[in-house]
Amino acid sequence: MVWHKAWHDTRWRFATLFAVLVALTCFHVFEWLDVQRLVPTLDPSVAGGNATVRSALAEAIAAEQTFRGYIWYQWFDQNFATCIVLFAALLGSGSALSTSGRGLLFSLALPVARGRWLEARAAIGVAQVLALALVPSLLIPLLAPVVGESYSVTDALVHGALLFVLGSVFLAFAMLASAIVDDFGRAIVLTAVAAIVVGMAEVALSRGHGLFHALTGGAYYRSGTLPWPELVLGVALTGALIYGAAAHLARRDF
Amino acid sequence: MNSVILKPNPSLGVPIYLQLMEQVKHAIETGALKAGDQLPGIRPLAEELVINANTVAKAYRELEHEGVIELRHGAGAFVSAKAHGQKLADRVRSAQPLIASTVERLRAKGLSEEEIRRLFEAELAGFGKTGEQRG
Amino acid sequence: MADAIVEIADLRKTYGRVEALAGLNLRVPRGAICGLLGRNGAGKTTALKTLLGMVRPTSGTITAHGLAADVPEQSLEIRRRTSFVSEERDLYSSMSVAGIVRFASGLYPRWRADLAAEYLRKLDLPPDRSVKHLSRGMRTKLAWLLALSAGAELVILDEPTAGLDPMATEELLQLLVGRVARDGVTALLSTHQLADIEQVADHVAIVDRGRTLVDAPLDDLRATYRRVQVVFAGDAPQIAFAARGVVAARSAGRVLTVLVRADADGVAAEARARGAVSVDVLPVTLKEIFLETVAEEKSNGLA
Repeated sequence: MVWHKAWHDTRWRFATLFAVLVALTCFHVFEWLDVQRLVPTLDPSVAGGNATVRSALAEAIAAEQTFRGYIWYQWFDQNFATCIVLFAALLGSGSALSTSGRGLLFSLALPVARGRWLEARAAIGVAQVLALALVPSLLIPLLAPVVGESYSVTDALVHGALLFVLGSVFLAFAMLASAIVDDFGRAIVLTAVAAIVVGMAEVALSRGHGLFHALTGGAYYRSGTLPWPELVLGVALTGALIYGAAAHLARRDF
Repeated sequence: MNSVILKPNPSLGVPIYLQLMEQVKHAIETGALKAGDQLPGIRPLAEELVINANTVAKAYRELEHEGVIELRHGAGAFVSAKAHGQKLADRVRSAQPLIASTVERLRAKGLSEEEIRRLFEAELAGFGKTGEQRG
Repeated sequence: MADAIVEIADLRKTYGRVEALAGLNLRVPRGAICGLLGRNGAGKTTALKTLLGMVRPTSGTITAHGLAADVPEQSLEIRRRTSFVSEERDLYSSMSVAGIVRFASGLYPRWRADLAAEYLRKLDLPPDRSVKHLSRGMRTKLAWLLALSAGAELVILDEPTAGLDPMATEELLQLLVGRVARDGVTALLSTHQLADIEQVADHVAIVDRGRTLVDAPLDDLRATYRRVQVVFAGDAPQIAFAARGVVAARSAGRVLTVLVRADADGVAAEARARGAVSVDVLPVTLKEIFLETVAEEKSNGLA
């Protein structure tokens, strides 16, 4: 019953986000046709004197010479990663005890331990993020032949799995934020801010390391190596944040 | 569906069980309830009047204690034997002249009908100056 | 004396600097319909929430069904045997009436499907309508249905008839009375509707500023509280009554009105001894008991 409610509370949200990702995936695959034509004509020197822009442009052009490179650079590394983080936050926000902000006292009065509500919501949320990460990824090898290319199923699975871990962290963060502030809107904002802060900190401080950097699969794309430390960190963070949410929920007054 | 016992007034300040007892006794006096008649069950009556079943139970217990009704285990509550009812009717009849003379004396003292009525009611509810409290 | 299904002793709850409960005591006898009265902000809802494990007490003991309400595992067991109607009638807005009944039925171990069906019919609730499309009156009825069908030994109701028309109120009170009568369920009714309490309660507790002022059977209150109205020839004197049990004394011109908790005769005698022209001992309504008790507490607090 409790699990059914957790699913019931987020199913429309999930369905919409899933549809959006499927659409975006298809869009990116089909865009390859245009990109393929355009990229060879580009020259980094159009960036003029600005070295940063020029090197970024050079990187992009280099990557997008191949379908695999384009998919990694545009989709997994940028757009999909952003979506997964945002969508996971959307799925994790909102109290585990109420539906659209109603029914909180009703839930609390039921003979259900507070942790059980959270547990169900976390499990459903993780499963949803997994679906959001893997299914659109697996769509790529399926659709590649349509644009005259092929894409490795292993690559799709690995990138999908890495983004799943990244997304889970922010799903968990959103759940912790919701346990503290109750309000859906504020929880989402807090999580988005956290994601931006982490992302920017990584760019500024870590010289190529960090959650975002690793879990968008750069190392795997370039050399086939998996970012084990960050994977472990991601899973550990997800667990810790959910535990934190449960602990807070157990102690607080309503 | 009981037609003898009416909804008591909870805001009178008089315990509801006393009101119920008075109603039963009054019903017996007027003949609405005769000896051997069965009273409504405690739970159905409580539900019908929307009052606490404990209150009905207390009223029935007190009525049994006074000998007005009998509680037969498993069967219900029944109005006591005719003899008691008759005694009651006789007592009421013999009290009538006493009331008449008292009222006459109070009128002679200059008390209005309303004042006399209030005195009687206060006394009967147990709140009079003589202070014997019931319940 | 029936054993107590709820026992609260010296319960305290502080939110920051606000003392919501300042040593509350309460004993609810099993099988009783207990009315909990108090001004807004007196601590009633806080006490009920503590009983249901929604709020953790700062100190004091609070048990229901012999279990400690402030221990999570025991609180869970309490909630298996207790149901609740919240003041806001807070229910899942996106579920249908039938849906939320089904949901609750799967969680209460002793759910009474027969009662749920009976109440659904009697209260005329549309099973397929979504909760968010129900009027407040119907949501109230639905909340009652859920609470009365839960198979709970203790039903806690917070302002359960607020906003209802007299017919709906009578309907629901009838269901409550029936439930208590048939299965010995205990009801704890926190309300401002004194008329409801006078009609169906057999036990009353009056709470003010987080403390219990009165905790007694209603019939005892009716039997022992009296208003003694004393008239003097001249201006009514201030009398310091030796008789115990004086709750409040007020004089206006020649009339001295005394609310007495016990020993009305003693007070009457003292008044006569002081030369009263007329002394009347009169019954008191629950409203007067409540108003005078709380007002006196208020002036004691300010003194």
